[in-house]
Amino acid sequence: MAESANFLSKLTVIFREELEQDDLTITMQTKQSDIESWDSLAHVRIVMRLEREYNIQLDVSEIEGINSVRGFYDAVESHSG
Amino acid sequence: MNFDLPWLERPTQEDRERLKFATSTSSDVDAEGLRRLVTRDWSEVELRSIGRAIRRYTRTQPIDGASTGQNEGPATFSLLLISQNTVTHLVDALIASSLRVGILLDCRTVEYQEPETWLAENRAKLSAAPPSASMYIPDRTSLNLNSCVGDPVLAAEGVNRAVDRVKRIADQLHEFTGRSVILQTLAVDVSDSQLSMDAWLPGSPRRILAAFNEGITQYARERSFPIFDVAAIADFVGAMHWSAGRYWYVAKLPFAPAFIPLYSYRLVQLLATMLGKSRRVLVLDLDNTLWGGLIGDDGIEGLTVGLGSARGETYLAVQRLALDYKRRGIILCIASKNTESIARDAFVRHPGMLLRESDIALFQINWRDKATNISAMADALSLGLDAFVFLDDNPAERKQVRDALPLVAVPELPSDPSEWPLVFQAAAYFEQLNFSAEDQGRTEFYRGNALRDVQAKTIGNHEEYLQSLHMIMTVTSFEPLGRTRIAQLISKSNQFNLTTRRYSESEIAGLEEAPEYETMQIRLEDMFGDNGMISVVICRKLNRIWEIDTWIMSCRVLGRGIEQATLRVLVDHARAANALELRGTYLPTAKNGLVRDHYAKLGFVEVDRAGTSGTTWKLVLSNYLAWEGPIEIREPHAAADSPKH
Repeated sequence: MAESANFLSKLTVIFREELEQDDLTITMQTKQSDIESWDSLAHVRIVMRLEREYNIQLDVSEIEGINSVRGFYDAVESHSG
Repeated sequence: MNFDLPWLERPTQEDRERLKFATSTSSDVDAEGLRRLVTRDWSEVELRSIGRAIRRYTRTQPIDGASTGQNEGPATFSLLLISQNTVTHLVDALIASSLRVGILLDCRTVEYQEPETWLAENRAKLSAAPPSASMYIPDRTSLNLNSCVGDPVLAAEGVNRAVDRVKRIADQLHEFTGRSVILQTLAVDVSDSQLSMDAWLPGSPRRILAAFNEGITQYARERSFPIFDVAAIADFVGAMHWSAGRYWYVAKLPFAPAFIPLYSYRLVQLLATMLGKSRRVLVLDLDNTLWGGLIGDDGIEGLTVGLGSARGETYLAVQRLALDYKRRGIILCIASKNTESIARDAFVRHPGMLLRESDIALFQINWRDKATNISAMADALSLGLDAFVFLDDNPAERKQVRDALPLVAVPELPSDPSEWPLVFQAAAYFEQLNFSAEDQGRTEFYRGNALRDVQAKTIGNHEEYLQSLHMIMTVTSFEPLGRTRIAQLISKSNQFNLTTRRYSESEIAGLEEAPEYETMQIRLEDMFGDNGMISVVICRKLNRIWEIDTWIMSCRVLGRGIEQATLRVLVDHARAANALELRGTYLPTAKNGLVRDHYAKLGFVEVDRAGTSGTTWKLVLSNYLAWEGPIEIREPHAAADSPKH
């Protein structure tokens, strides 16, 4: 799980900056409905950061389909394979 | 992923660390540190963090309305953005970008709603607390701007309906707020068909978009509303890059987020001009900037400029750029480290030069550092350093000026001069709200001044010098022909400005026929040329007291007795209307210390001192002794039409 731990720590930094909450914590179980400030704008901003970080491009249905931290992880995994 | 603003300095690693520190939530916001750091070419996420930090800072010092920068404070501006799509995502980037030009921005947004409904529900709130300006952001979906290929009648109807809707929204905003409304043009939608025939085909997407943008632009001109030309920016970067693509579908973003820094930068340029902060001088280096080579080392024959070589043509393009700005009323100056006679000789004699001596208002060619020279130019032209842009190929010179004079805009330039025009134009330094005939002749005024200086030195005695100028001052009340120039003076004058009240062009139009106001626009000619309009006075007529609301004069004509002559005319008019007293106020700012004793010098008596908010003065008309001076005063529309001396 070292890979996912690495991913999680990167994603935590991104979440904190884009959701503008310095003390936010996320886990691999966190869902969009758990975090109030995770709205569609924040979602898009997180996507853009991940695309830049991992040099990938997610399409509309992927972006729309993600609603959890796990979803982000799976999307990044599927593009890096 | 972010579009660079290549004319801004790249942030270094040290800058990034300083930024983390300055924006950290664990301590007070380091506002001063932010001001110094914000000038870099930050990414969108970094701009947002700066914007957030500024918002934290302004929570302790709330902004209301627009101020030009009273005393040591920064200028403030409150902006309302109305869109039927997402717009809140721009706010922090706009706030950060505003800090670059010394503006503390408060930005509110209205999203995803029908503007008409929102306006109806919020009319009272808007009137009670109007923003300095509002901007309506159109989108083709809400406006039903759809193509009707081959049907010119239907196409025109559709366009007119859309334009009318924008007009109604703009009118309402203006009516409720009493302030300017900025209209944004619409960019090409890259999902529309675009065949070559569309260039002429009525009802094609291309023709419809052009007609729409033309319609709202014309309306904006009629109403003196500023235009934010997003269509032009999108064209410049390429519509297919500008397009939001996926981000439109997932979050209704209006354009690609990569261009948020550019959009913010350009909108802030517009806001700055609305606050009277426009840049007006372009200072140019010579060696390897206007020509290839070093005149001192290579001699005239060794310079590369002009047609005949690729390199020579690139420098010609830079000169053409400068000349184009001169024609827009920007003052050109030369700052070069050289022996003056040698460099100037090359300027005049090299056959490849496009710029001529007469295109340049000031030459500072010496061995002093460029910052010192630019400061001297600021004094000579009576302009603030924030009016200056400095173009130099040498990064060391650029750094010297940036460090010494942070208010001067110094674009970073690529090493290849062929790319300079592109970078320079994208920076849009000389954004203005208007263009007047006087802009075309501006260099002449400054050159005329240089000749006057020579005359003054020749005729040592000041009184005789003034006599020798044969000055003619023409006074008329505000009328439509002078409106643009009046608006320019009112929005740009900072030093000889007693109250620094900014009026929009439409407010000035309102004064033209207002019976309760006495307005004066003053022109000055002398034997060296026409100075154009150099002073503006607005006076409120309150029964027996006339209150001077605005008194502005161009610093170019200080020390000639214009103020005294102006007062004389004002007193004449006031007496003719049976007024007994004139009152004037001085509201101090960081820039108008020059006129602190203006009313004292004119014989007014101080009446009031309300804390630090200025001084009030009065002149009892029966005590006024008519001033006689070496200026011929003409009032072409006055009842008595013989010129007075």
